[in-house]
Amino acid sequence: MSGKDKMYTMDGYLAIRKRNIIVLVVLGFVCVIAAYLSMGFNDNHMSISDITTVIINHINNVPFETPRQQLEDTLVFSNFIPRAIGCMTIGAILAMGGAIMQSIIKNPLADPFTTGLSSGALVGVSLTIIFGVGFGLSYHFDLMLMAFVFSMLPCAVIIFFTFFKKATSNIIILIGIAISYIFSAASTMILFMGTTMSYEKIYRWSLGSIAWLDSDSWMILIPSTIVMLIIFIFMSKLVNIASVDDKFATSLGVNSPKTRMICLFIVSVFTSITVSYAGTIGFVGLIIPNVARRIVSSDTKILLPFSAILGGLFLLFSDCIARSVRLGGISVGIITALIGGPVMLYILIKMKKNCWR
Amino acid sequence: MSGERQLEEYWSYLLKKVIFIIVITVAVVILFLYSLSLGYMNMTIPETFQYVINHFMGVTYESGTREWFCDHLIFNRNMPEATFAIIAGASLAVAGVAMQSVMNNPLADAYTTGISSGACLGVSMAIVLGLNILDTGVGSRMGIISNAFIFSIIPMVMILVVSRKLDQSPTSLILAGTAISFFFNSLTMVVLLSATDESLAAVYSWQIGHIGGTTWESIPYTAVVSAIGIVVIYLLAKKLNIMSSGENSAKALGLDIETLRTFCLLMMSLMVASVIAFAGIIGFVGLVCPHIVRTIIDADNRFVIPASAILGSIMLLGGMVISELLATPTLSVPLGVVLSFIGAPIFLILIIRRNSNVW
Repeated sequence: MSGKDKMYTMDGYLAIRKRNIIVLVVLGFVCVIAAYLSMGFNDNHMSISDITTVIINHINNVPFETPRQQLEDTLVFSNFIPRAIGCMTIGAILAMGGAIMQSIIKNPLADPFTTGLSSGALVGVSLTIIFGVGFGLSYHFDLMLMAFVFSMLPCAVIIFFTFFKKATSNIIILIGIAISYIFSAASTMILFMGTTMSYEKIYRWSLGSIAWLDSDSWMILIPSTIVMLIIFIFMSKLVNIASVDDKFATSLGVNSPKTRMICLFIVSVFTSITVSYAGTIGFVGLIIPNVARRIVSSDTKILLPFSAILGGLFLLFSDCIARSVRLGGISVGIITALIGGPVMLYILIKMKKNCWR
Repeated sequence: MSGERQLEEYWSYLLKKVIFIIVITVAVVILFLYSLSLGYMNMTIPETFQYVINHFMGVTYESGTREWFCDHLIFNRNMPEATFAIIAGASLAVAGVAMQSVMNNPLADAYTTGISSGACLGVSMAIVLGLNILDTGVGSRMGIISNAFIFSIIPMVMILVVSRKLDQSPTSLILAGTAISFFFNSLTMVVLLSATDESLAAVYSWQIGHIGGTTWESIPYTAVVSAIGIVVIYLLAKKLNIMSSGENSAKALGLDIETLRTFCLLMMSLMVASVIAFAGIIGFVGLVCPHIVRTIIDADNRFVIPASAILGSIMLLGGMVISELLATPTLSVPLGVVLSFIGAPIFLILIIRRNSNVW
């Protein structure tokens, strides 16, 4: 941060920063347009122009003339729009979570799904859904809180193995996968105990789907995305330092283990929120930050907003595919896994050749 | 003098293994009888035993009586399921032993390397689309098995190719296998869900394994393939022993590693395919059983193979019994969930153990 060589580096730095900001703004714009267009993929044969008319009428408070108009208005405002917003925000949260976890665990395969955080959260959600276990808050806050409490278990395991056993980072991911096997078996078991649930509903949770979002979900999801982004932008320097060697971090006067714990904690909080709405959607946090790192840099400050927007775009895209596969759609988690598996393989092969920074 | 002592030591070494195998064989028989008694007729084990003996003595009952129902339940529902579980468990466990030896990786098995998922895709192709590579008629059992086998070769080749490009650590290979299985699993789902009216639940039950509803007709196919596979791999046991001592020393002893590896992998793919064709993906049996056996009777494949086969039967049969006991009238707990509960923690312990070995 000192002023030496400022003139020389300043120009380069500013040029890159300017480019990045432009790219971000453009991408943000693209994301919003994509979200709007994504509403055209629906089972109700409503085109984009129909939807636009409905929205304009809604804004102008035009009274409904036919039951059809009433229905369309309800559809657009309690299904299409929440779903589009859900895709963007959940994608963004997962991608940011992935970016942070990759930096702090120092492994490009880390994300809330592969480390078992999501599956842990799902156990909490299942307990609340089936047995009504909770803290006496409103139903949805109970869901979130339980999800959070249970995501702490895999979190603790990861912390234990990183700090005390000094496990290599690939082993941590494999441990995470083993944990997620256990937890998904546990949540399937719990969900099976509740006889009111259909099989369909049970698997919908474990595969992750955005199709059944509440109409007021955006009131939680949008603020959480923004809060998460802001928190990590403020912590970006610490995260950057935590992603290099610990000895180096100590020499800079930074307590990296502490940063890691705080980051894991925050990522768990926000992952739990997404799980309580959409179940476990995998691979968004794995694919997106790795793509983003190639386009921008590994500097958390720019990587994070970039991942967030790309994550939103990616989930929108996947959800559109999931909707068009068949009438009624399939779970978006299937599509993300379909794309994520090969990407994971690619990263693994690359990892050997080029040690990850 | 010392020669005699060594011989004595060798005999006690053998005795321990033989006793272990006898004990688990007895356990299988007991578990088998117990599993026959399960179901809505509330039979006791001696009663069940009596029915089985009577059946083979040729005793017939008047249709509609309690005896007739019990007999029917045992021979048309419980016994095919239990028999299938025994065969499938043995087959999967031996396939696991073979894979671990040839890949030199204690975490490898058909499930963790994605081979099962590939086979499952083949099954779904055969069932749903009627797309059989060997055209033996839509939905025919041999057609399904051959399809499963052919599709299981895809992930197998992927694993072989990828394993050369990865670093040498066993975890990387398993991570690659996990990635492959995620890919094939979701492909299966997309195929099944987009092509049929099949519900998500039905599709999912294929992916976590189910034995319920097995009939006598499907057993001969699995039995024949598994028996051939187990015998062939048992005959290769000594070569597998050499193989697991490391590639270099195996080469020095004149073993054609590449051929043996490819042959064993093909054999195990076939065995796994014959199970998956009827029961879906059954995980963790091939991973957990050989490991338990090795910790008890050491790594000599001549004994590990039969012992694992029996333990695999116990695990699958036990999993089936547990899932039956946990079932409520409306919902049954899938076998795969029970197996994950047993298998995943052991998988976890295995990973952690390896980790501490490395350090």
